[in-house]
Amino acid sequence: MSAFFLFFMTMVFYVIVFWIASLGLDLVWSRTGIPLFAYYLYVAVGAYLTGLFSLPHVPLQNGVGNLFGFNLPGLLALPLAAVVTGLFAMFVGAVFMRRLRTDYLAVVMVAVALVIWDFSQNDITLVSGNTGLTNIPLPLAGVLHININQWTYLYTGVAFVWALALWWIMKTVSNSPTGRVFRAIRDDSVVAATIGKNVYRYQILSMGIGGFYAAIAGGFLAQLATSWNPSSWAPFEVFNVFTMVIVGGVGSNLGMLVGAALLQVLFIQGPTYVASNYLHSPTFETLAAAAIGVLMWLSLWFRPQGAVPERLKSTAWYLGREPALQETINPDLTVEERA
Amino acid sequence: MHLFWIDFGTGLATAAVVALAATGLTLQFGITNYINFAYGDFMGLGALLTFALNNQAFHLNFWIAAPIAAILVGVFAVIANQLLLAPFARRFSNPALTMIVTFGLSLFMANVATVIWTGNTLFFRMPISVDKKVGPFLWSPDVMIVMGFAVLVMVMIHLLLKTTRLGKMMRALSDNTSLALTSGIDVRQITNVTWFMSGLLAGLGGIALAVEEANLTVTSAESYLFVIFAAVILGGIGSVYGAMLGALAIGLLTETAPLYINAGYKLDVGFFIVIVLLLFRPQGLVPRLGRS
Repeated sequence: MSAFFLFFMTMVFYVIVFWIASLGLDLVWSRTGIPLFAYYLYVAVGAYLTGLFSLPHVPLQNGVGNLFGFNLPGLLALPLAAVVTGLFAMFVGAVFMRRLRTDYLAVVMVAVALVIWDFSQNDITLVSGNTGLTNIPLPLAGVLHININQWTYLYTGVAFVWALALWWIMKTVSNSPTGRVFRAIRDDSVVAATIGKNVYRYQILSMGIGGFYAAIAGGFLAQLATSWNPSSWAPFEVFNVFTMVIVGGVGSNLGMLVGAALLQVLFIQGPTYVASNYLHSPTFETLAAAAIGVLMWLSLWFRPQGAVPERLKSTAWYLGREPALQETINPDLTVEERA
Repeated sequence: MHLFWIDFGTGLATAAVVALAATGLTLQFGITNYINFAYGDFMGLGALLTFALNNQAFHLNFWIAAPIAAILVGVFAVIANQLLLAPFARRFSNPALTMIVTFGLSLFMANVATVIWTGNTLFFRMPISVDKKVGPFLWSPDVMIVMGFAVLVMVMIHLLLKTTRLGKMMRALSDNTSLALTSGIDVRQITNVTWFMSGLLAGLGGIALAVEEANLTVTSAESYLFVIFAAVILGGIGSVYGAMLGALAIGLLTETAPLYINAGYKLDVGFFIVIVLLLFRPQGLVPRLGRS
């Protein structure tokens, strides 16, 4: 029982973590209309920072070491890393959103992620190159004297509490005046600018919040694996998160949970478990990864609004007087060309 | 100085590879106006099909297998466009969605290729060619053939675009789709021809890359995708001659860069050029007249 149960809890952990990750991408991409192809970069930055903040100081020796070494408790390192990553995301946004249209922005974002990925492989002073960060402490494990399996169960609960809080925050932000400005920018940035909203500033704010969510997800991934290095991530993995958003339903908070669960259970963690325990060959896993592409095409073609569609909201709905309208929003409108 | 000229020669060889691939990418971008992230996998497919014909099935001579593989990639590009990319591009006006679809195609092709050809390093079955000194440069005969072939292809593309009716139609379509439609050009047919040429050039570029590097893996071409973007953007997106010039510049820059910086950052020179150019000069160094 216990091996399968451990796998099951790990899978639940991944579902929760990717729910958080897709909530962030959903805000930036489907609610503000920015094609943030560098999203996985923020996941990685969050993971690295969580590790760097919670590891003790190690002097640099043979290319392995840790310049920082704040030795913070893991539970504190995670939100701190997320705040720093959010600021980093706002900085990146401020530099690139200033001048670029959607398709060029997408290309530049991938290029930025690739440059930083190469940097993380080659630079040995900051993040130890290909060795990466190892022995990232398990938060709470030392205090409670529990083994790694018990810790996984416990930390899945911690991640779930985080996810519920972040879900509630996303819901609140989405229904707030700021959230309405985000959607207005997505639907037509010129109109949003005409009614006096500073489109650029709101886009940067959206990127910052997205970066925070990505970093929380990344921090959890690094803590579960207790290590983080350039082979733990690739810039192109952002496609999986995009697929979760599209399959779940752009602009829908609960849809993100559906998308994350579907991909993690059926296409990523599930096949990995089956391949390593029953088939003893990685082929099945690779085919499942290829199938994610097919899933995305089919989902976008036959159900572009996703599993849980975003609902149009009227003014009366915001005032609590009537239920949301049932019409769904065409995802084709989700990203509007910047003037 | 001696080392510089050897790297300069390697740069010319890389420029030949990038020129083949960049021309194909820019031709396709000129008519579709979205960026194909699966282009690196088209290149990889060319090299892998050559490997299959050369080592696995038929055991053809490399120089016979290569053109067959490139033509197959061209056919594959037409089919991929007809079945997948064109329907999505027609239905969703938003280019970011079409880009995500091409992203999916890239993921799909890379993973299926890994299943078929494994993740190991593969080698073509061809005589080992020893580097020869040519002036200050150091090239193997195979690389010299690839470079000569690339120049020949560039001249042929020039002649096709400038002297034939087909080339004129392709240029017209690239400049203004609705005007081309009103003057009676069969847009669908020209689009197919363009995708075929794009795939063909991608295949040739991928094969040339494998010859230059003397080996191939399923992902080796993918990492060159943004270097090819750099050449395309440097020359002005959609401009064929710009892409050729851009390829020359990018090839020389990436190969001589290791003399001055960590060799691990070789390809980042290309990525960096993409970022800086799109930020400050998105029309490229040689802007096309009459296009906004």
